[in-house]
Order: sequence, then C-alpha cells, then structure tokens
Amino acid sequence: MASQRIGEIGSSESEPSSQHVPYGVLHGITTSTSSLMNQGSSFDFGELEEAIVLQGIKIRNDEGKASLFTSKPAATLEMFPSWPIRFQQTPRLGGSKSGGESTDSGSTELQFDTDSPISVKASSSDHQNRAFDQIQQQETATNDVLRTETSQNQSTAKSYQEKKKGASSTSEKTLDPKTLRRLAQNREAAKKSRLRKKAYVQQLETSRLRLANLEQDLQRARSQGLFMGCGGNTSPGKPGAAIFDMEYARWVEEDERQLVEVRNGLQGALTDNELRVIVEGYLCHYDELFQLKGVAVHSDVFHLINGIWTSPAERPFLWIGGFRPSDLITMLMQQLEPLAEQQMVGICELRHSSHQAEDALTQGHEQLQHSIVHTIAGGPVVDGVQQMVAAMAKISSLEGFVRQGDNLRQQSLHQLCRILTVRQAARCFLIIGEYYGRLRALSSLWTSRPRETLITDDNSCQATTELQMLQPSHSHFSSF
Amino acid sequence: MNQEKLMHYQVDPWNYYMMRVRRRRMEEEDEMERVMRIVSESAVVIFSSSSCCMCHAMKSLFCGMGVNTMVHELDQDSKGKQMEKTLMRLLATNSTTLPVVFIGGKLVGSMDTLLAFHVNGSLVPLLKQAGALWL
Repeated sequence: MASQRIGEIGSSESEPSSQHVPYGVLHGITTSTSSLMNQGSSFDFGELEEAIVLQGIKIRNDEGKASLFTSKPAATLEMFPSWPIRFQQTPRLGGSKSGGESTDSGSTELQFDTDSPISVKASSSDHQNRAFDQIQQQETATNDVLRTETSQNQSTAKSYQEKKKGASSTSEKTLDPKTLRRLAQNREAAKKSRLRKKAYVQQLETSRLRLANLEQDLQRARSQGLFMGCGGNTSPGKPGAAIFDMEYARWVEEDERQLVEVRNGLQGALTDNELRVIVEGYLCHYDELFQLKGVAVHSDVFHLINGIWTSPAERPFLWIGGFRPSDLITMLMQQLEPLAEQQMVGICELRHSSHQAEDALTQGHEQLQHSIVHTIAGGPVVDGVQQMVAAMAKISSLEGFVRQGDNLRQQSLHQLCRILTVRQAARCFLIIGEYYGRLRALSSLWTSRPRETLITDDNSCQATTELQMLQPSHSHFSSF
Repeated sequence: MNQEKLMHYQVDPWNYYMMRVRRRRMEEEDEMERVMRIVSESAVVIFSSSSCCMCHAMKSLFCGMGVNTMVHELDQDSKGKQMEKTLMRLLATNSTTLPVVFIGGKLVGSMDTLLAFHVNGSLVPLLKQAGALWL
C-alpha cells in the first residue's frame, strides 16, 4: 500500500490529499526540494514552512487563498495531507514538545542539514504513528534549521507551536506579524538565491561564448600560418616577418580610415585647428609605421628589403625598403599648384637635399652590396667561418642602411608639414593616401587578371567585369 | 714597474685603486684633447673606417655638396680604438658609432643626425658658418 502510494504521489502532484500518510510524500519532498537543495546553502525552508502554515489555513478555511499559493507550496501541499490528523494528535504530543527542543530524538534520527528530508525518507517506516513522529520531527528539524538561520526563530518557533496548538480553536487565519515577517524574509531569501543562480548561469553562458570565439580566432590564426611562420618565409625561427606583415595590414586599414577622415575634413567646413589635429594624427600614423619598420629591421632585414610586404605594383619603386622621398615630393609639387613663393622655395630645397641624401645612401648601399658579394664569393685566403662572420657583419650594416632610409623618409614628411599650411598639408596626405590606394587597387587588379590560356571571348568578358569592378573604386579619387 | 705595482696593490689597495682611476681619467682627458685638437684643424672632420659603407655614404654626401672634408680612418690609426671609445663617450652610446662628423669643431653626430639636419635645411647654413661651403 505504501509503495503504491509512493508511486502515485511521485508521479502526479495534483492528487488530492487523503487521510493516509503516504510515505511517498517523503519522496515527493525530495523531488521538489532537491532542486532547491542544489542551490547549496540556500535551502528553501522558507517556502516549505510557508506551505505548511498556509496549508493549515486553507484546510481550516476551506477556501483557497490562491494568491498566496505559489507552485512550490502547491507541491508541498501534497506532502502534508495529514494536517487534520496531526492536529488531533498535537495536544497529545504537544506536551512532549513544549519547547520544541526535541533535539535529542531529532538528532538521532535526522541530520540537521539540508539532507534531512532524504534522511527522513530513508528512515521511513510503514507505521502511521511513526510517520506522524517523523513529520513532526521534520517540522522540528525545520524549526531547528530556521533557528540556526535567523535569530528570531526561538520566539517564532514557540509562536508556531502555539499556533499549532491553538490552530484547532481558531477558525480564521491568524498569522501574527512575527510569522508574517519571517515568511516574508524567507521569501526574500528564496528570491535572492534564485537571482544568484540566474546570474551564475548567465555568466557561464557568456564565458562559453567567449571560449568559442577564442577557439575560432585561434583556428583562423593557425590557418593563416602565423604560428608556423609561413608568411612568406620558410624558417620557423623568424616570425618577425609574419608579425610585420600582420601589423602592416592593420596599418593600411588604419590608413584608409584616416584618409576618409582627412577627406571629410577638407570637404567639410572645419577650422584650421581641427584640421591641424587631423594632420598631426596622420603624421603620428606615419611615425608608427616607421617604428614598426624599425622593429622589423632588427628581426628580418631581408624581408623589408625585398618588399614582399608591399603590394606588387609598389615593388618596382621601392628604394631601400620604402618610398623614395624626392619622387614623392615631385609628385606632390605637381598637385599642389597654388603655392606661395616661399613655400615653393622651401619645397624645392627639400627635394634637393633629400635627393642628395638619397644619392649618398644609394652609393653606400651599392658599395655594401659589392662588398657582400665579394665576401661571399670569397678569395683564396679566406676560410668558411671567417667568411660567414664577415658576411653577417655586413648584413648588420645593411640594417643600418634601411634604418637611415626610413629616417630620411620620416624627416622629409615632417619637414613637408612644417613648410606647408595646414590645409595644404591635409591635401598632401590625401594625395599620398589616394596614390597608394590606387597602386594597391592596380595590384589587386593585376593579380586577378585573366590568364592567357583562356579563350579570347572569356578574356574580354573578364576584363570588362574587372574594369567595372574598378569603377566604384574611382569614386574614391573624385577629387582628381 | 710591474713589480712596484704589485707591491702597491698588496700593501695599500685603496691608494692603488685611486691611482689607477686617476690615471685612467688622465688618459681619457688626453684622448679627448686629442680629438678636440683634430676637429679644430678642419671645418669638417669625419671619423670613419675604411671598410664601413655608411662612412662611404657620408663621404659621398659631402662630396656631392661640394664640401671638402678631413677624414680620419680610425682603423688605420694606431690609437684608433681609444679614439673610437672617446667618440662613443661623447655620443653617450654603447654601440659602434662610426661615422661621426664634426663641423666647425663642434660635434654634429652620426649619420641620422646629419640627415635630419640636411633635410631640415640647417646643414647648409652650418657649413657656411664653418667656412666649408661658399655660396
């Protein structure tokens, strides 16, 4: 019979209460409160107790205070269908539980922690009286746990007991304010623990998403060969080139963004001060590039010199790992036609001095190349190790040349900004940016050009589509 | 002499140490004086090394501008090493510094400073002031 009860109560929670004390209710306790107990230290005795009290009221009133009943008390309602019977027995047993301090008897059978309902279930017997005892002991366990949680439990337990005794006498609901307050506090505690659980779950979710993103990034980076150092070089000990390529790509993106800013600044009605801020920002942007190159020179000078990091169309014009300042200035002079006399003189001087410096560096560079060739070719006297040591020394002086080249480029840009007005300097940066943008577009067009093995019809089709692709990019160069 | 030094070291270490420091300082001052003497002899003095290509670049630069320079090849000088150390101290750097240029007896610096001055437009007036460049 009891086992039947267990099955029934365990399955359906809406079964009306009966006279018997189903030992399955203990199982019901565990199923509904186990979720509460999983919250850790926030065992929700509050709701349990509330259910006990409220059920007492309900049975007395025989009308539902539906607003007070939540789903959990509805479940717990089924747990203690024996209210009336217990009340009958309460006067009998009440004397023995005057202070509710049945810790001795309680502790022998129950454990005063969150596992008490389970232990109660474990120690269940078939006897009805035993069940009453257990339920009462559970109530005292509830009382005891509540006593350890709140300081008011002493008085409230007593009032609870009084209410139990006097429950049969009163017919209306008599919740004295202390009980009400305790119930409210327990409600709050339950709510807080629910919120905490929700927050923890949300945290777990976000960190899971972040982990997935990180793994994706890692995979993408690996496929790009950053960790293999496959960015144009084969030796595993030279990630410097790949790192520089990555940084340069980022610089180019930033460059395009700054270009847009300069264009908007020129077209809009910005004051000179605001434009100066933009121009100086662009200068800093170029300084960053030279700094990047300075680091890269030290790690892999050949990578900078062979120019693989630039787009294909830029490579023929490379001079010691970068642009040639005098060529740039010549191009700019053609575009910046309305120049004042003094500015014209200044710019001509700048072009002249940078040209001289370029020649000097070129001569030194050529001599270095000859000397390297001579060293590696070797002579009858030089042995292998000495040869290599000498060649390594010459390579380090090659680094010096690239550094001086970048130094010259940086100084030329700064001097240019000093000579020109703010507006002219902004136009300069716009011109330079668009020039290199066009070179890059040309490069991509060239790399994606149709091969000669295709039929000429397809050739022309593809050429026209590519030209159409080029059209939108022309909108960038609308100022010309 | 070495025997004396040894005895000094054994008998009076502190004095011996101070003596060494003083001697080194005197040597450094001598070197510095020597360098100053050399750079004041000409309008433009380059301390270089015959195998260094950057020195070659600096020489070509001045040649291209039509400036006559006095070049000191330190690798062919007997006291070249000490002079190089003196120059490093002057430039306050630990790495090899050649080439180093002095204009009008005053220190200009290494190649990057020279290029910066040139692009600035301040090299030509400096040269004119030192009498190395006419017109």
